[in-house]
Amino acid sequence: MLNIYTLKNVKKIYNERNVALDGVDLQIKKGEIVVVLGPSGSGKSTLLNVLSGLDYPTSGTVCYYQEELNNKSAETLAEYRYRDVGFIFQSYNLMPTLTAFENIELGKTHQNDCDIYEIMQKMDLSEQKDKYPYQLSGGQMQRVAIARSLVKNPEVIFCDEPTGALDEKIGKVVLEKLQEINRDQHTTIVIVTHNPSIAKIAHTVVKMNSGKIVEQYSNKKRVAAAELRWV
Amino acid sequence: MSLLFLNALKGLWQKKIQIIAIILLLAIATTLYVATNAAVSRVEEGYYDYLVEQNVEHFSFVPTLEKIDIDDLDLLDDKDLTDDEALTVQQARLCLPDDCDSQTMLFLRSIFSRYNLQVYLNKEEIDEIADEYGFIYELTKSKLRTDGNKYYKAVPYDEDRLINKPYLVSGDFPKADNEVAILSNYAQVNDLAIGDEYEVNEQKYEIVGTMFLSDYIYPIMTISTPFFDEENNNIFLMNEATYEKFSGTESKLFSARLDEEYEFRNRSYRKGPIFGEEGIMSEEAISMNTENFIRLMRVDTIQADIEPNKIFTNAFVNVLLAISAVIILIIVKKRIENEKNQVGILKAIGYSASAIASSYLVYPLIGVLFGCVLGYFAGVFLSEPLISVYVSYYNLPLPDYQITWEYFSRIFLLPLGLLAIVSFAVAFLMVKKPPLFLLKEGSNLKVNFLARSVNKILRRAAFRTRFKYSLAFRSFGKLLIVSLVSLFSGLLITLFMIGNGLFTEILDQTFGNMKFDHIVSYNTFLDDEAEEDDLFLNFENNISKMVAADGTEIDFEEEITVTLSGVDTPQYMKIVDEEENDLVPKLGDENIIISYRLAELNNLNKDDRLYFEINDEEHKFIIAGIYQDYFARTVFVDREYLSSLYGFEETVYNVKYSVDDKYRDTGAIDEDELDKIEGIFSIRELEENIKSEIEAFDYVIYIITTFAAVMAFIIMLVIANVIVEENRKNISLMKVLGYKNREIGDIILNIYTPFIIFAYLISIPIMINLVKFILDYLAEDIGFVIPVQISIFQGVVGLIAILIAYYLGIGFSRRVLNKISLSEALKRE
Repeated sequence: MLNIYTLKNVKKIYNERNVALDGVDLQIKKGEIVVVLGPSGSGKSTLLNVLSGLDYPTSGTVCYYQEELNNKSAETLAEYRYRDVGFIFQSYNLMPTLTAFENIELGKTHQNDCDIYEIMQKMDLSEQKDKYPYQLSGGQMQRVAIARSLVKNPEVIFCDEPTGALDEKIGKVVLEKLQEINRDQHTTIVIVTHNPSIAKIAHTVVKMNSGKIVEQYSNKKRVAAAELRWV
Repeated sequence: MSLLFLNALKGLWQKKIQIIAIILLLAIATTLYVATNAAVSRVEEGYYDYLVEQNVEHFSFVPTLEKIDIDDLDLLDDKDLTDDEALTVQQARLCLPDDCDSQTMLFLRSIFSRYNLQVYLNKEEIDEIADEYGFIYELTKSKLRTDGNKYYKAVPYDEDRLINKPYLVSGDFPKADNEVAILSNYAQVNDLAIGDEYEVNEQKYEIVGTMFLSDYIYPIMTISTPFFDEENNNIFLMNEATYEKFSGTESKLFSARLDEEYEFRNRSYRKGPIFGEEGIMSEEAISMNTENFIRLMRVDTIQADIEPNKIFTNAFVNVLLAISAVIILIIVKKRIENEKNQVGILKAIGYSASAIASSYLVYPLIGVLFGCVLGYFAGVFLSEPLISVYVSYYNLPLPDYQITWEYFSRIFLLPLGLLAIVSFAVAFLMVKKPPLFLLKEGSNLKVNFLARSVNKILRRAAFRTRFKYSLAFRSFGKLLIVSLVSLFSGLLITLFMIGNGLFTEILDQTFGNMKFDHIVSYNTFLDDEAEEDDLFLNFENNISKMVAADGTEIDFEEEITVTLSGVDTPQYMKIVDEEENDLVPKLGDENIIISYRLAELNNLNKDDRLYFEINDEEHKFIIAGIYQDYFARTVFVDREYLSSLYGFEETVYNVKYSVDDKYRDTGAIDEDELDKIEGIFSIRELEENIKSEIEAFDYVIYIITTFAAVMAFIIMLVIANVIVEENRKNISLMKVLGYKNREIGDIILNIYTPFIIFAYLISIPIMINLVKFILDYLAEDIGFVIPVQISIFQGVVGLIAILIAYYLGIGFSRRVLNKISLSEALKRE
């Protein structure tokens, strides 16, 4: 499978005592779900920032397909996020003054074939179309956030603790939706979490500690199933 | 508590623009207050001390000519009367006291007036009135001599004088012949010192002293030069013998001082026998116009010159303080919203709401500490030029500048108290909410009814429009505050537009309509036709009734005295309306033209009717036009018609507007005419004098309006900064989603633009009416009305200015916007 991201010896140093990424080498294949696991301060959020173009590495290369992100301007990185990247946050980050529909519309940064109504239906949000965030449950808000990330039909969705603020049952629903997206649209999904149970949905699990990848393995069954689907 | 305060103090550095804005606003308010009040209070204090210590007259008067006894005719025996005058006196001997016709009495009065004999009339009646009203009076005489633009006034020195005692600055009062004491300011400006010789009219005098001899605030040289010019106006105090030899036009009047404690602002003395119709002053006296002028000048000068400045600056400073309070309110509110979680945690662990709220007092404390101190020193610095403007014509000994308790409390305690109460109240109301509410996640914030309604209304609009308005309407309170603050800015900008150059403009406009050089007033009525000059017949009269065009009577409380001015076809005086249309053709027997001042102060319009009592009969006049004069209280009437109303068979005049150079120098006027001349008024000198007189007011207006513009900019800067601050999270999220800075700026920074424009448009009529109200209120004191208006062009310029200020503010804030971290959105709440 084609690598969507290739990281070579990526370092991110804030100061001498704070090395967030310490020579990370990583390849992420298109269409897989990658779960990055690690305790607080392990560097997983920094890895997500570097991959998504929110931050620059101090050294090393970060390639998106063949394109090196580490030497692009902030403007180009904004275009990259605008075009290809979706985000899902632990605290949803919905605009409180916009309805569910409008929050999703906010994510539609460019014209494409995506139909907001269709996406809302897929996310079981049709009933909540005109509701404001304060009128929604945590699960519904996170599904709105997922729908917002989907509406631009991104190549990759980055999720930062997507179930962190949800109870187990609702968290499960959210993860199912993410799997569904990955399955139906072949969208690459990168999930950063400290919750090991999420690793179950991953094709690849990356474990981090002290800015280094300490373990990386594939969930073979899921990979095989995925490859089978994509043939 | 101390830790919380320290924490708030540290947090100030992160809100640099906001705290700097508070400091600047307070600094501007304090600067204005100190600059104007430091100058005004010194002059005022000196003024009141001077009035008491020098026993300055409360009013002056010339006895009535109304009642002339047959014995009084003896006063004319040694005068060199003309044939006409001698004939009139002979007729008077036959008809006095009761059988003289009005024309004979008019001529007789003019003869007494011409020979300066009024002061010898009606002594008994004056004594009776003085007893009744409790005032003392004494004769004041002086001689005036002009030499080009120099005015010299000789006054005999009498150490036993009760009223208008001179104040010695240095040297001695004159005792020997040809010794003089001169005005201190004149000596200073003209480099004269004690011991110098000074020559006037080929006579040498030795300067033995310098002094102040002010009639109220400044010395009045003559009726025709009422405004003092320290460089060219001088008073010589000399002994009686030297005075007798001094060659100049002599004037005599009585100076009077009320015995009891005198209340300056009480104007009731204006009515009744002293000035009113029953007593001393003659209604028909030719000099009435100028007598009124003296009366107004002497008694009301303090109000005319100082009160408007005080009222204006005090009101303005209070407005600034209110604006500062609103800005602090916004900033404190914003700060607490940002720190909602932190406050929630503090409350959760047991800190009381009042302890947390107290920490936000850091804003007023730092603001007052830096802003007011900075403003105080800037104010003292700026007050110096203003003081020098004042003393250049106020001719008073000024006390040293002292900071009083009142000053201290007004400058430091009042702002501190007010702003502390506002900050604490806002903070307390916000932090008193339960900890769980404060710890609530941001997305859970409720959307108010207004925002939901606006969203519904705009549901068909483009997404960005809906987004923009949803942000703007999310908090009605915030929207209201932004609109209010924008309104303040608009008011300040409008004030700037109204005030800047206003006085120069109205002066130019008024004097631009006067193409003559001199007003020559006569002490008799002439009927020759001096075709090269404009001829007028002037009488003072009171309006007896005012009726609107629709027939309803217009009420008026105080007596309205106007100058009825008979005119035919003036060449040098333009009587035009605001569109420059010549109004003279509209004059007819009953058709009159009134001045803008008269119309504005009494709400008179075209076609309204005015009634005057002339020779015991009431006459109706219809207003046919309003001419552009902001100073005069003049009613123009057809001269021929006015002459007939006053009982003249011929068309007469008593005032002439002339361009003839001979009136510059009294020596060039032939003896016969000179005898008849009551006074010569140089219009160009008056123009210069008025310009210098309002210089101080202009200076204050200039400072105020310039600061107003600066404040508008600061306010706009704060608004833009607050918008960025309160949308940090939204901006960060949009950045993460890939929106470019320009797009974010267009959406988020512009959310209040329509409201700012709207608030500005509303501010124009509000400020115009506010200024109009203040100026109408002050019109009586400052002696003229000011047309308050803004052209469409100025309105557009103001709008552009406010938007430029706003976008400059946004420009500054864009730097903040660009700095907002992309990972801000990723932070967990």
